Amino acid sequence: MAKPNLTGRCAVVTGASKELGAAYAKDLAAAGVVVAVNNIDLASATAVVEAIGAQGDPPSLMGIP
Amino acid sequence: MTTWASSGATVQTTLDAFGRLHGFVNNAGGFYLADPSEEDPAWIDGKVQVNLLGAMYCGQHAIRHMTARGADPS
Repeated sequence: MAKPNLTGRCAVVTGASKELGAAYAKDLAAAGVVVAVNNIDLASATAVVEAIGAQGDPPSLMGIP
Repeated sequence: MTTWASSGATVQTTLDAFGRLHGFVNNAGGFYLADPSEEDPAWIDGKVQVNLLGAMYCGQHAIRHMTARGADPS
């Protein structure tokens, strides 16, 4: 199935510090989605953001508690 | 991510930062195995808060925003 063009869209991923949540955030970011990476522990969300790699201005990824 | 207020704050923080919201991946939650006869009711309450109510509250906040925005993809 062809991947939809999601460039410029914005999405939240809750519980995105590891495993499935982190994978969702990574794949959405790769598809051009601006992702709010959420976790109850902001430091772990920020770590995922840094691992994926912040891009663009305004940032395409953001960690939120 | 367990209360109505904190769930709303997650959506609002995203809107404040990025100005739009098109998708919400309601992934947060915890999984565990336990002997039901030994479970602490307070622990059960906490799991229901996160796994059920938190997901429902987040979904409501996101859906309300998306419905109000309509089909405009911007």
